[in-house]
Amino acid sequence: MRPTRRALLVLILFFLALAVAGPILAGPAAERTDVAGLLQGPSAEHWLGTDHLGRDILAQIVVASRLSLGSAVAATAVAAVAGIALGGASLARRAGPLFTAVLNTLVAFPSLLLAIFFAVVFGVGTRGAVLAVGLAMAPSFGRLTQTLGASVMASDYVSAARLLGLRHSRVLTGYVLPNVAEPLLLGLAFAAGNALLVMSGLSFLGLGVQPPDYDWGQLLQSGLGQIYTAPAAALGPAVAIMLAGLTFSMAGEPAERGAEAPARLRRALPATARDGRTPAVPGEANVAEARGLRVVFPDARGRPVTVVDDVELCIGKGERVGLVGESGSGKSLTALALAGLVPHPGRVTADALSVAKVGLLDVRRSDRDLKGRVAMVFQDPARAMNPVLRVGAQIAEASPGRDVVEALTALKVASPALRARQYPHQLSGGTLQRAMIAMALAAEPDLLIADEPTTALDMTVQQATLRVLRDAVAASGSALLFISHDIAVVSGMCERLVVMYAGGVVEDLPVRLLPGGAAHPYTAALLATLPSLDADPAAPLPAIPGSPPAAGAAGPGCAFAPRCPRAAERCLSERPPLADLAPGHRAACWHPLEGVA
Amino acid sequence: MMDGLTVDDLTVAFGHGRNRVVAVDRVSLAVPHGAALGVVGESGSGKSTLGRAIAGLVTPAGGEIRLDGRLLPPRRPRSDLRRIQLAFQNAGGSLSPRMPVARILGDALAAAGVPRERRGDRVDELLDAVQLPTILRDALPGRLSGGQRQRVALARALASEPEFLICDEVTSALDVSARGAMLNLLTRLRGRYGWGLIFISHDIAAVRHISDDIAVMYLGRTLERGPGEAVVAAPRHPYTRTLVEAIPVLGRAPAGPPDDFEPPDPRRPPTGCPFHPRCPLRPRGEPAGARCATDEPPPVTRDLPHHAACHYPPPLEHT
Repeated sequence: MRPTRRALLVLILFFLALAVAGPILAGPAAERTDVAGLLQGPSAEHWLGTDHLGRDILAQIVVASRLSLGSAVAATAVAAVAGIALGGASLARRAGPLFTAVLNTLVAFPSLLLAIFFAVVFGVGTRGAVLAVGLAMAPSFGRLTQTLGASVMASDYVSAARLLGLRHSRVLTGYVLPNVAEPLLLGLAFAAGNALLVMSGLSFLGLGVQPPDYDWGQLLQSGLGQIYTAPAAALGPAVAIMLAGLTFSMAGEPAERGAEAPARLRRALPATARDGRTPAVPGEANVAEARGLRVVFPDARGRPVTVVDDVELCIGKGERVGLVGESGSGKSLTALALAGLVPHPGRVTADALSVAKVGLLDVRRSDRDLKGRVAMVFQDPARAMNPVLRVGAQIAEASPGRDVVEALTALKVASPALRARQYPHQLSGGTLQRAMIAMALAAEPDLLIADEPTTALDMTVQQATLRVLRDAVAASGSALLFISHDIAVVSGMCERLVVMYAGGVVEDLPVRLLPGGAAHPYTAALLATLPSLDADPAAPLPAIPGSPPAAGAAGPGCAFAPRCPRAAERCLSERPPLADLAPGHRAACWHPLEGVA
Repeated sequence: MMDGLTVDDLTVAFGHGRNRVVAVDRVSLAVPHGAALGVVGESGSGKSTLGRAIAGLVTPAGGEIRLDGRLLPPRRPRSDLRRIQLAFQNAGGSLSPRMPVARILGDALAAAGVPRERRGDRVDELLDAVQLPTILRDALPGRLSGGQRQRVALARALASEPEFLICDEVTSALDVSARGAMLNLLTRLRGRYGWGLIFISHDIAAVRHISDDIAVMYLGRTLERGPGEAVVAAPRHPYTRTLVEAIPVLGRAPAGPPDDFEPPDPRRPPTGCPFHPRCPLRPRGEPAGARCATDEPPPVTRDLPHHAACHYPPPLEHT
């Protein structure tokens, strides 16, 4: 638990105890009048002094906590009941628009004015003030319920519930309300703080709690007269209101907010060499080289989980390598490690890790060293581009001095001059991805990493985009690391194929050996599941039974063994190393398939 | 009287005035009981909206949907909603995140009128039918894998004992190794329960595997409809051919023209044939294919066995 949460818990317990036990413990002291000591300042006997009847002010504050907090909570309850009912009614099928109009009108009134108006209508006194404050706050609750509810109503699970033939009222109570309950409760806590302020305000103005009852607002009012002579009498209740209001507001703060946000801005620690080993010298012939690469992330409980385990990946100059694997196989993190972009709180270790002769294990390296050497193209170009900058300006920024229109023309972008002047949202997905590729290649990087660059595109657009990507990479002389879940797409783009499973490389082979030459049963299974237009529709489709192990949950043996038709005793107990089968062909398998290339 | 599900001239539109988009444009189709119709199209083709309209989640702007000849009113009564179930692309999003599996299925059973004391056993039967272990009864959707969530969604559809099931991209969010298993399961369940199936996907290979008939959609319109085998092997519409040729093939470098094109604006679809600006056949035919840009080919009906909305369809192959 974070310290602020702990402090909050202490405060809540404190005020709860105060409200329950306060009047019992401090009641007699607050009632006792002392004609000898009227309007006294603080003393050892009366810490905050006495009032005009000589009663102890601190004891009065303690006693008043029950009424102050109780009426704030009661007002919030009124607001919640009325507001949620109104908000729920505005989501109703037929009468919805009518209630929405009512809600919109009510929200337009300032709530403090509304509270004063209602207080007068309901009559001066505690009950009137509670009702007034509650009803005054109800519209904002109704709006909150409506907004949250409307987004849940649009969700597929509500559609699914409607298709079951459930009654609309049942859909609202069973599917919508539970899913808006959490933000509503937080909103309630926040509103309770507000209610406390407004209730105290009403009492302060004489519209709320009436003598002989008293709450903090009234104590503040009676103490205010002596603010210059005995400030403690006014400051005491003021501090109580402030502290209690703060507690309510803190309780309304989402518990996890703030814990997540800064993490995204931070990058993982620089990659380090594995313990006790000296970083290898970057190879001369390779554009990228990773040996013994390991990426570790803490799980929800903070325990380290190895998501990329002992990966070896080398890319030669101008080589096109495909990295294939299912979701969770670690293929994207491997690529991010090569670009020095593994997000916080991931930890990257390796025996050797270098790109374009820049050693990523070198503690003295800065991000600038990789600038222009490695470029990346992501799955969603709309998110990878800055939405408020023109496309042309972004390409120009990547490589100053290059002709933007020419760069776009090279990617066969239609009307390139116009596109360069437009903003990312004005371009179609396919065109935007071409612009992204143009931007990535503009700086003539040694290595282009393309992570599922066409997965989000339509199939007819995918083919054309892949073709220009292939041509542009060939023309630029950059090496390509092409990441995809689709082995067919990769085979058309690359010379070499690296297959990953559960964080490790299981096979590394030349594409020309496909499909018959695959040695690892997982590669073979991936090939078998490729959709085919010639397959017999009557026969069941080939599928891989079971599912991949959760990250870091693979046993001591081969991670694929539980799903493997060839698995034997040894596969379950001992992890197979990535071993050479033939020049340029390696597989991590104890029982590799005999290739029929 | 026509048996099964029939749709005539179904039109669905969103928005008003300049921003009006006709998402589904005069679509007609028929799915007999126990048959499977595949609907293929790219994003923006209106295939998902078509599915939601047939399921009764979207109120159509025109046209008729009939079940065994009986007209389903545009605002569908609850008793009719249950007879056509929809499985969503994002199975995770179609399961309430705060309901454990047993309650998700229990609610569906309650809606179907299964008495409370029999629901527990039925939940186990449903899980068994979709090949999920019964220990998942108490799991929340967030704990399940993509394939498992999709199976829970199927089990829920199963609980309503529907006559028709619409699957909207149910395999596209799944990994390749789970995709085949999902399609096999669908085939098996269809055989066992005799569902009529509408299988919506952008993946032609998956659609062909599971469907008897295939309809190809583009910009809200059906451009071609016919027996699955024939549509894939001998497409009669140039758009269908473009789609088939776009399927990546192992070991083949991406082919075809590398040119970029602007997708049409759905608010202002092209005149005449909606595909004409992209059509590879354009130079063929009459003077520069002028007719394609001005005259809309007659829409695909549900009567002809294999029909394409094209002015220049290739001659039918007789084999």
